Amino acid sequence: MKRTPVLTLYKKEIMDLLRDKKTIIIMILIPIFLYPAMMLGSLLVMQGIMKESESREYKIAMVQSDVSDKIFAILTDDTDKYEYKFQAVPYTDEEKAREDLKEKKVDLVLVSGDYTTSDSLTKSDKIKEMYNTDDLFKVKCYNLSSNTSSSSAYSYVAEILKAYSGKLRKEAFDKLFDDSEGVLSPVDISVESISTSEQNAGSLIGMILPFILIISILTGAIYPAIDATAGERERGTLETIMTLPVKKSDIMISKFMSVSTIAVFSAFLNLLSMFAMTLYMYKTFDMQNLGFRDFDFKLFIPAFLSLLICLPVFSMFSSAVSLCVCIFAKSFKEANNITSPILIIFMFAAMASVLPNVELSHATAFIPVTNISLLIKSVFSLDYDYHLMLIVLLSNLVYCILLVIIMSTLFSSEEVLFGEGVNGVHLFENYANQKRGQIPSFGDLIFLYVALLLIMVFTSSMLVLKWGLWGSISVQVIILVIPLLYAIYLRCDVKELYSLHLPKITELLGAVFLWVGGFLTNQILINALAKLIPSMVENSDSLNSTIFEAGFVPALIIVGICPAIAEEAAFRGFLFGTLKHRTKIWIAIVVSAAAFGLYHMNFLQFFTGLYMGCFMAYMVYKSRSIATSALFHLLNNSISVIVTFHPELVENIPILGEANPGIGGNIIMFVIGLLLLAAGLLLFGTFKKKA
Amino acid sequence: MIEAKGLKKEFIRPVKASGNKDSEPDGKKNDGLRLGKKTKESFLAVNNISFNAKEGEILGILGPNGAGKTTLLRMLGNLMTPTEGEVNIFDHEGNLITDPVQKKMKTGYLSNNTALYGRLSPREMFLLFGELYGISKEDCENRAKEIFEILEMEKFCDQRIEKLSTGQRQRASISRCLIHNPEIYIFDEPTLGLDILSSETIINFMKQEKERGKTVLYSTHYMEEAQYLCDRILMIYEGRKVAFGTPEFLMELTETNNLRDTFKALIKDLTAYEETEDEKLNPERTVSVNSDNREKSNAEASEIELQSQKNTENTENTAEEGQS
Repeated sequence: MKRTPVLTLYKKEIMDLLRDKKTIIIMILIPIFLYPAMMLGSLLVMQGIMKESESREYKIAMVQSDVSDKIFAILTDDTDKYEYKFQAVPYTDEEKAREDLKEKKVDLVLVSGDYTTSDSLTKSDKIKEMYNTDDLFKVKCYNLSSNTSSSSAYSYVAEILKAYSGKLRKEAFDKLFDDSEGVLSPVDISVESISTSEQNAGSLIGMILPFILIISILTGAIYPAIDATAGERERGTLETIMTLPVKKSDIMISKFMSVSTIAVFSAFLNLLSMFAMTLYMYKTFDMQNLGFRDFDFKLFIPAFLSLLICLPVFSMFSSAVSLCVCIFAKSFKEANNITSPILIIFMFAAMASVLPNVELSHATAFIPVTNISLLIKSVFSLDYDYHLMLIVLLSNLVYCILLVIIMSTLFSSEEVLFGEGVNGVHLFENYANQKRGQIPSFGDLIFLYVALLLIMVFTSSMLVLKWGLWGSISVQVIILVIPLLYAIYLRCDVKELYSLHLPKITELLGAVFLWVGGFLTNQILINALAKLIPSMVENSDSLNSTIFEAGFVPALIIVGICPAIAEEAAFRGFLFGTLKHRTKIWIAIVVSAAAFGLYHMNFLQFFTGLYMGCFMAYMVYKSRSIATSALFHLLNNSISVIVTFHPELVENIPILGEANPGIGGNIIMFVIGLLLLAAGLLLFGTFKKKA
Repeated sequence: MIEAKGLKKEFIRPVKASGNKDSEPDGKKNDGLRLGKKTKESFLAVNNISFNAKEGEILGILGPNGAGKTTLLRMLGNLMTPTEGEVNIFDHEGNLITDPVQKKMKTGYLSNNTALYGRLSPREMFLLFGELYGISKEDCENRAKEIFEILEMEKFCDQRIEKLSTGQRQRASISRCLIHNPEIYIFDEPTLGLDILSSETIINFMKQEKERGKTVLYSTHYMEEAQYLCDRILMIYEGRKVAFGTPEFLMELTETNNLRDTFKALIKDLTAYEETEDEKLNPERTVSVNSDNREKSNAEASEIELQSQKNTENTENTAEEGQS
């Protein structure tokens, strides 16, 4: 029987990769030896420094006075209690001592004064009664706070002298009161942490682990990805592989699989070596002091299990990202250059786990890399939210699939395959070199939409906070204008790209039907989804509250009208307009809809966006007029605004207005929805036989 | 049998800005203009080439550097999609094969850009590729043994390819093309940079395959080799077909007695040719194939083909095509 070519290609890729010494080094030696060695090394160094500061001998410059010998006796009195030692260096001149401190000949300068002789020490008679005046003295310390040993010398000296002072005080109070403790501390403050030692340890691990894991997985993926793409191009085997009777997408999928395998393998090795490292440290070093008493490792088993699921998914994502990027590089060197920004972006995104107050939520669960980082953080804080985990895993899988589609398409492009490292992004070309009426490339799409996403993430909240409603409008303007300018720079045929044609009346009517049908069926699907995964709904209600507070008209403009223009232009115009020329039509429809859904950054709206986006893209495809989908969008958004302000309008509508329509009601609604959809599609000529 | 119909391939190439040197001394004035200066243009690397190659024939494709030989062969080997025109491959019964994967099953493609996986041994590569061609493991092993014997590769077939010499590598490359026993071989300069012995192995191999009824398309810069080996020769220059026929016919046409001189003579004539037919290098044209165009290129093809009237078989063949 003939095996599928993907498996054979996979075998070949793995064989090829594993025979490369560099891959082996990066995959096995680094996780097994380097990370533990680094961790152990830094631990040992830290311990050494701690030990040294505790046990070393500090040189104290004692400026001679009547009490200086006595003070030094106090300092060296309790040598059993403290590990550190002091050596007295007698000085007669305070200035000289300070000079020597500056030159680090001594660690600390003590200037002392007798209680009776010192002028500044004028204390009341009452005090003289309470204490034995011979015991009292005054000390001034000079230290070099920028120097570690000097400042620790001061803190040790201060500690001992404060203890001495406390002892004297206690003796004096004991003479006066029976209950001296109570007098000395009238307000009793105490604290007790009820978080378990597991939680303490977990939150610590959850902060450090994600960062190390994410970076090590990415480095584990980047190298094989470079080898499988740029390396293959450089060695000249790319053309050979194309002579084989296999589809280009099979080649790319097999490459993706093999790079993922290696990344997953190295992720596991990393995890294992870190685990072993932790156990070793726990056994070897005295962890009792750090609050690791009665530590129950069993509590972390689910955390490790969820790591076992998340890491392969994340490894796949990293592999897909690195492959997508490396495919453009024509040599190892170029690939290394291109991948370094990826590493930096991943590092920043992974930092989320270290930031305080950033937690896994319905919004952050959609941000790639960050979501994994936060997920690891949350499971190690023993906080398991399975719905969020599901979102993280699913969204990563969706990104993976999208990236694999993108790279298969890129890999089929001759420009990428035979080109001398042809730049897929037309923006980097001179304006004069832009071909009139060209269609943007995939490189353009990826570049533009990633840039747009970054602009949105960094500026939208700022704009909205600063200018309120005008900020919201300007966000929409950004979405509209940036792709448009891009298209103009590329000398695209804007009219064609954005489908700026007049629609037929029947098509507008069809858009209305499709919207009502789409809305009804979507409602049912969302309800079903909300039943399955209840926590999804909670988050989405309070979303636009600030805009709605502004009143009916502004809300209608911002939520209803603006997106119908700006978002349609960006998603059904530029994105879909490009995709429909570049891929099969159904891929173009689904990808543009998925991007539209993701743009909403919310689980429920993702589904709505995906579902409705498919209809909208289809209408634009059929009618060649963006007006149809703009009408659809306008209806959808402005009716929701109207209903928010005037809920009484829908209350009287049977089934739809009811809070709980029941199964029968739902079915009726669904059937009506389907009928309307069919009517809408009919108006768009879906069922017409091709002439 | 393999047939090319009106093949065209459009590429974009960098252009040295001409005329700007004169204006540069003027200084900043021209900065605005320079922004708009063109540094790239599109051109046709292969421009309307049609021909066919029959079973049991070695067809040489000759031309100076940059003539478009590699691009043409890549399109014939289904590695590149033509901008316009099509490549048709027929099986023994004369049925047209349309599936791109099946087309690749019928062709063995070799060029100096098809390197081998250095970290695998020739045998491992042979078995893996055999699997991809859908050959069972047992058959594949037998075939490997057979082919390694023919190409005298037994000594090094278990070494890693990165450790092999140039000649050994080239033989390993050829063994790669043979795995699936293709009907059409497409060799892009297979003897380039090889010593006499190694290239002789390859030339002998091509002759053998010809006798077994295979079609061999092959490009080279070695004129003597082509004169001795090829049944027919396709001469191309700047992407266009210049002449097509038996070596004898081409020599007669140019009144020369060896192919080297024929080549020079033909290239010399081309300046005149260029002046008359330059309008075809128009990058603004659309890239769609309509039926009119195809007919035209077909007619053109037979026209040039008729030049080689000596080869009577050939003319019969074109007539047959017209009917089918």
